[in-house]
Amino acid sequence: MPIKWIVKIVVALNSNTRPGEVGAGTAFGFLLAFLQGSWALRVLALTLTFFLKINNAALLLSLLLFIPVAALASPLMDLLGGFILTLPALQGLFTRLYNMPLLPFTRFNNTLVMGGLATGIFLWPAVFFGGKALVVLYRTRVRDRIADHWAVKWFTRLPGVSTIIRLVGKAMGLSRQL
Amino acid sequence: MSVPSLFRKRYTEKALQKKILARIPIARDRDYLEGLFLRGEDGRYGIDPGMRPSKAERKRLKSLAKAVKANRGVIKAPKLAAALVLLAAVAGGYFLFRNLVARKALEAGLEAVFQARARVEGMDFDLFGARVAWTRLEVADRDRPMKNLFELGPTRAELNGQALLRLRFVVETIESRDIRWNTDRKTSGALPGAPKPEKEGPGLLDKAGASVMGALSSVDVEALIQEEYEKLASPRAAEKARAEMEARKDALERKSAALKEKIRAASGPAGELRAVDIGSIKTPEAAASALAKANAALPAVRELAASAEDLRREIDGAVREAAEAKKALEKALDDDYARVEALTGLSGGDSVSLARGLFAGYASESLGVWYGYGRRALEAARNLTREKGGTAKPAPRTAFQGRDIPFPVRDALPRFWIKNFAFSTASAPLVTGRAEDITGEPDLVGKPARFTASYENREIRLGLEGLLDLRKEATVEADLGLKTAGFPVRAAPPSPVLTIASLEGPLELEARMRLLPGGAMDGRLEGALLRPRVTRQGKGDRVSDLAYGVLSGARRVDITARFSAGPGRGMDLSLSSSLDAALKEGLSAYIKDEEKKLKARAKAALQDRLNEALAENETLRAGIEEARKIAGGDMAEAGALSSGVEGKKKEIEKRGEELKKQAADSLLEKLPGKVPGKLPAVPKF
Repeated sequence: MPIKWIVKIVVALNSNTRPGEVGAGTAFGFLLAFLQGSWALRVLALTLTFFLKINNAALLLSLLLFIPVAALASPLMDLLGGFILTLPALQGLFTRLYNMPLLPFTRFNNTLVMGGLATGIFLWPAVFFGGKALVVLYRTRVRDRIADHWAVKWFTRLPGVSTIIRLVGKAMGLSRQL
Repeated sequence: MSVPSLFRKRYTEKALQKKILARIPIARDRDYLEGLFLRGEDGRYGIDPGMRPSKAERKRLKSLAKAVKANRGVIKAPKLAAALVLLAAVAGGYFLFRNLVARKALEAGLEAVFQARARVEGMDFDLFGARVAWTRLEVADRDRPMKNLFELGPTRAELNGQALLRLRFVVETIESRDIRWNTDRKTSGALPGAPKPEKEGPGLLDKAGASVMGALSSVDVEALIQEEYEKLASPRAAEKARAEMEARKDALERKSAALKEKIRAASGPAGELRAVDIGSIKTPEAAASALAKANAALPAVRELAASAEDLRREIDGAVREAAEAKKALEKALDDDYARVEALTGLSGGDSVSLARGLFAGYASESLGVWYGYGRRALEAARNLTREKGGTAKPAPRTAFQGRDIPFPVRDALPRFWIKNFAFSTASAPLVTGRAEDITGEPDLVGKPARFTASYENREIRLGLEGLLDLRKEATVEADLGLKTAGFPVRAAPPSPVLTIASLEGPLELEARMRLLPGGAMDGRLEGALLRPRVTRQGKGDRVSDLAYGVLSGARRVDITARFSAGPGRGMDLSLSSSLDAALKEGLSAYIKDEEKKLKARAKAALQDRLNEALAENETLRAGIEEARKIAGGDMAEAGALSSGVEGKKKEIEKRGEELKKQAADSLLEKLPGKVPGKLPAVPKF
């Protein structure tokens, strides 16, 4: 499965996929990884991605990449979530939310969930713009160097490889530049 | 020309930039396209219509056109449209299937609570209006599958919309018309796999006390004695005394026979000795010979004397024991007479409780039915608690899962709660009622479930009120109160009591029953049977005629009862009525007289049974006395022999001494002068 996502990412990077789509996919993957402990919030986030134009391969790869990071950061998330949930200024708001219909099912009163949600939302723009910048950087600086490198040219000319590339290109609508 | 249609249009410079070029991120492709669009005379940009692109170019233009279209907007319109269609389908499904789903859910819930088939017809469920209604609902009786526990006609319920959003099923009010119960079913109402219903009946109350009025009209004294004989002390005492005296008598006879034998054996030597004439003993040798004879006879007579003494002690002991046995037997007899008299007594407690005899069966059966209904209601309420309101066990925590910070919950609601339920029948008999606070989480609601019901049909009125309390701190699980007026009652004991087969009439009653934790119950009832109609069966006697007269003439019979029951113990029913005092007064002199006769009969019957044993004991006692007399003669003879031999021996010894002295004196006389009158003194050494 990850191989397929990698191939799709490569296709996206080398085609006219908008950098923002890849960036958004990466950011949502990051957010979903940190929304641990609340299936309701994950479902909401996934539902949102269902309707938005984002690169799903970037989302899945990003999710795979950030899940272990989120697991390692759990104690920090717990501390952050505990801090936010016990802020005196927010007690009224949280109490109102807790007594609302359906909201308690999101488990927002759990320290890990709140910490992950806060981290995910706060760092979402950074990851989005970072991802977008990386795509632009790849296209402007790295792509041509890779395409023009003698090793890449030799590799792609190998009989089997060239066939595979042609077939994959046909299947995925690969650009003639690759 | 096979240039995509998107590129065949002509655009202003701004539109070209915004709609085409800005949507191509890759610079090389963007430059390629920009090179294709040329400015025309109209100031717009377009691709040369005469352009003949190669295959590769066509392919490239096609993929670029696709990319331009794909890079429009941020929302996936097709998927959004699909979602909207799905939502419409769900909405359509809701409108089409809401009633079916609601009906199935209600039936499943009722079946879980009542453990029997439930059916709902004409369901109308409005989620957004928070209303539910149906035309008919029936729930079968688990214990009688071919009957319905209850049926509800047209019913309408108003739900709490806010609570629904919080997944709480709270019914503000529910009104139901045409309620019925115990109606017939065409098909069995048992759930598949349900166990067979237990045998119907009061069960717990089967051991209610039986009437003891039969004792008054026909006490079988002989049967009573027969029954009690094993428990009496005098037969055992008589048997014990008989055995002991018989053993003693046998021992006495043996010892007496032995003594006779010894007397016979000792008589010979003693007789010979007695025949010795003291005066004929002239010489010491003759005295010695006589003395030897006496010494030879002495051991035998001494043994004889000892045996006689032993026998005397034995006889004294036997006589003493016989006297003690007689005293013990007389005491046992007195005790047994008193016991039998007490058993045949008629003046205490239940013995004149006609009410108990007539009404115990009816009261037990009725109480059993109400007790059964009360327990079923509690069971249904507990099922409700488990089904709807029970707190789920928390899932086992595995990895690090953070901490839940609790926030204050305002207006916590139970998962299921009927605040008000009003019901009534549509036709006579008129039944109306109300129930409040039926819930699976009584501790959250903070109140017990309450209900009232009334029944009216011409002259009959019945009112029921009570509460069911399954809260943790509840000391009483159910408290039921019942009032009736004009309720027709027929009390018929299993067999006629004093020829009274049944008693009928309208009943006025006020009763209270409590069901306690652990399955126990207690309560009281006070009532009156008005203008009772009495039915007789069988031949009457003076007592039953009197009882009939008292009952027939009574305008009302007041009844009071206290009852309690529990698992593992039967029903404890204490019943009394105004009949008892009237009957007791009328019968008091007769009862006393009868009692006296009964006691005398009982005593005589006991004496008859014991006469044989007593006579046997008397015979044995007489036998011992006779043996004593006979043994007395032998003992006297033995004593005489003994004293005779002893006396003779002393005489012989005395005679021997005399003869010795005479011989010594004679010797001294024969030697006068040869022996100095005074012997010289022996020189001193």
